[in-house]
Amino acid sequence: MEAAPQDAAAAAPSEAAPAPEPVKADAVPPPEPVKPKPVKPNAAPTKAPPSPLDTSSLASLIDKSLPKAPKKTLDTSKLAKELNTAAPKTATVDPRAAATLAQAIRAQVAPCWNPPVGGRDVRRMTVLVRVQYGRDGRVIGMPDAGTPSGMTAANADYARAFAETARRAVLRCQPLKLPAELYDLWSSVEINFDPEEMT
Amino acid sequence: MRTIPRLLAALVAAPVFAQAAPQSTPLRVDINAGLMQPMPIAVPAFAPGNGGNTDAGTTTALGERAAQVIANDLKSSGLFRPLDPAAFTTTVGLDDVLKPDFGAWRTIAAQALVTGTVSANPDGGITLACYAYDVFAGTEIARQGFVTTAAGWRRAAHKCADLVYARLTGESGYFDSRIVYISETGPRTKRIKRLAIMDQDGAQHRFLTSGQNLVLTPRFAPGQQTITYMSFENNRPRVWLYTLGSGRQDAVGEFNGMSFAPRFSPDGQHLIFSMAVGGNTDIWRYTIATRQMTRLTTGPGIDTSPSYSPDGSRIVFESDRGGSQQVYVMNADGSGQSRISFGEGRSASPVWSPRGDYIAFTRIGGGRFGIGVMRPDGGGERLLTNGYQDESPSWSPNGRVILFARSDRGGRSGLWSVDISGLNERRIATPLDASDPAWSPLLP
Repeated sequence: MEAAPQDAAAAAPSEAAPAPEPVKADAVPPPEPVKPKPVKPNAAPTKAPPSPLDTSSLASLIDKSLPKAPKKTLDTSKLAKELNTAAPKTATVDPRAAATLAQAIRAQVAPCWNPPVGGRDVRRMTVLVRVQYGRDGRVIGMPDAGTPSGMTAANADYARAFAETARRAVLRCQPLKLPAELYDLWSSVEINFDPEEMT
Repeated sequence: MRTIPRLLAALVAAPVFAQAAPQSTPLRVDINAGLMQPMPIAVPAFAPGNGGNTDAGTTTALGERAAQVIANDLKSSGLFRPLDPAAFTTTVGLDDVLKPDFGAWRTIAAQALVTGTVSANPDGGITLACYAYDVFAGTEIARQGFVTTAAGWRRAAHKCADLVYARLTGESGYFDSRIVYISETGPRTKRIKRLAIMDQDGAQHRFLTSGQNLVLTPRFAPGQQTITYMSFENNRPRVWLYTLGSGRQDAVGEFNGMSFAPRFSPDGQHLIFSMAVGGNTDIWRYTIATRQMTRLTTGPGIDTSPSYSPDGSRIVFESDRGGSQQVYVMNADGSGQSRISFGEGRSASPVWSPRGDYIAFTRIGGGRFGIGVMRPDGGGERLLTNGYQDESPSWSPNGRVILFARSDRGGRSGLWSVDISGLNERRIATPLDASDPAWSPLLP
């Protein structure tokens, strides 16, 4: 990059500062000399906001922002009851049970999804994220975000950012609160993120 | 509930299994909407890479100021919400730049973290190292160092903000850029208008002309070093070029008519503007190297405000040939002219987006001026603002934000910006009244 003239305020009033020359950041690692000791309080943070899993705040978010989201799915006791009624003692899964579970997962994850709307190709893009959940409702390992649909060479950066918002939603909104007795049904989940209702 | 039929189909098609066995087919969930909220992001003060001092201050001071510039850039986009440093539960020393305590940043709900260092270099310059992290994934997502003069620290900070913006949105940034505009002062009958330039965030404001001659419609050349504008020297409107750095001003050609509304072609080889000859105002192309003039429109009526598509193949312009000001598109050689605006009222001063997908314009109707966008085929028209008098749209380098001039009933005017979604309307502070803004391309 060229060394443009110095931006001395008076001398060259209209010239921009010289272009910062990009270098690899790892070529300039923070050197040793001064090491201010970071303060890492042991105590709990004083201003920690409510956990993203606070179901009451989730419910309010859903009510405000996701008009189509079911409003009562976070009542897990009721959900379990419904599910047990739906799929009580058979070896097969009642489709209604799966649908209700899917609804519950959607209601818990959607409020954490912040897709990059306004991007040129957002209308055409969806991404499927595969997640393994433990019995405690926590994500096991790193969710696997597949290649977004509608990805092209021209929008690859946008597609990557888009897929990461989906993965971030899964990571932020955990542990899931779902009926433990139906764990086998939700241990492995595929979530398709599609901003169709936002654009 | 559009998911149910799909699930039903899947479950009916595939044989289902005993509850005790591990599930082989993952449960399918469809999420069709999320929340549109700015992303919480932490931008703690950059750590001093060494104990050095520079002409612009200590590395500690520059680290604090750089973080503020970066946070301010990201906030201004409307897509990020920099967290209040008072809420941080950890400071960032040199060790933490490369190995952040993700747990601490998660507790304050930061979704991304921008850290870095500022070091003094032996030649008096600085190196700003910029790192970005995805806090919930616990991964580094971008890193870049910038070497510049001490006085150039703001540009290094803007470049860091552009890096973070681009990585998290997937679109190119726009923070390391400048705005040129017309600064106005004095009573209406004796208005003094001067060319002025500033950084995109309003910093480093400077006047470029003295105010002796009336100036209008400044526009950047693609190369950034030249501005074209209109000046009424000796009361005759003409197209001029201003060379940044030297401050040199040159009139473009010696034309028979009065020329208006100049704009560069994307390759910088041509200027297009309108010129009044024999009572008829048409669009002309001026080839800078050969000084050749080509007339692109010929019909009766006023054709003005031409703007190239980013690939240089087409030109959008305004014409009253149909009875009122409307937006038209033609090929770059003047062929294939067709009207594309058919909304209510009049449509004026069209500008093609740098990413090509939209044309911004001024909608005039019902005694008001608003900024709108439409696709190049005229479809998808949306009004983004509705002020008393909003006009003169200009695109950010990434085609995501529109800068415009807003006047109130009292005659005061200033610069505002709005996101292409119509959200995040913001005022950009200027020392005096302001009009006719033009956003530069991204600086090199």
